[in-house]
Amino acid sequence: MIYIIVGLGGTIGAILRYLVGNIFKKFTEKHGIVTFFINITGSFLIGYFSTRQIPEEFRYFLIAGLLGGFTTYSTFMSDIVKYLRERKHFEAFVYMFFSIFLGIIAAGLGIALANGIWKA
Amino acid sequence: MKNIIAISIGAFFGAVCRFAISRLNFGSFPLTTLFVNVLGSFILGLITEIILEHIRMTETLRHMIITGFISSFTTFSSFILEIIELLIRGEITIAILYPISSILLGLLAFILGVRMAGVISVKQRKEECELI
Repeated sequence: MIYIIVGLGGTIGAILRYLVGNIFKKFTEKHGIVTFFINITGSFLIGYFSTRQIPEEFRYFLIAGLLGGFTTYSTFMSDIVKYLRERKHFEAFVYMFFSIFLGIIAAGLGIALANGIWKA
Repeated sequence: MKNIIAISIGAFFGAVCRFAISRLNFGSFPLTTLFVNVLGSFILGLITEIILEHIRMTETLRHMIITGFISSFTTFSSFILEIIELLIRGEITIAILYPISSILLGLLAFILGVRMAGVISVKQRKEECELI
């Protein structure tokens, strides 16, 4: 049962990723912008929802399923290789570094928000 | 609509496979996510190269395998969360080694996939020539 919940979450995450990608493609052709946006947003959300108290099934659905399916590592790698192939080593490094650095910051903000550090 | 159905099927199995692997546990180093991400990068390198250079694949099938299965199989959010958990637990060395090894092995795996696609296609071409 838990596998079906995770699978369904992954499905929804992937469809969202596809739809967001289609919207972004109208604005930019540069490698990795879409993946960057998706991965940073996903990192923020995983920080938030992994900290909040939520029912276990919903946790599996959301974290292992939806956010796991929404964010992607393989495309992140392929974007870096595209930059390297174009001999844009600096861009490759900047993209890689900021994805991870801002990903950590975003997830940290999510955790802080869930802990009620800032109250709206 | 066809694309969305194809992506759904691929993503379902991608997430289930990732989850099954993630339930194995290997102590404090997040080996399962590393494994999933490196394997996924290898498959993506292999498949994109084969599709681009050698095999004609319908857009729907491509979406099922790439946008669906592989992208859902690999994950960035868990990767980041694991780095933070390592930092919080004070395992600073692993928190630094983990992203570095993920990046290096991921890139190597992707490039290995691309190279392997080349090898496979050369073999195929030779066989075709022998047939003629």
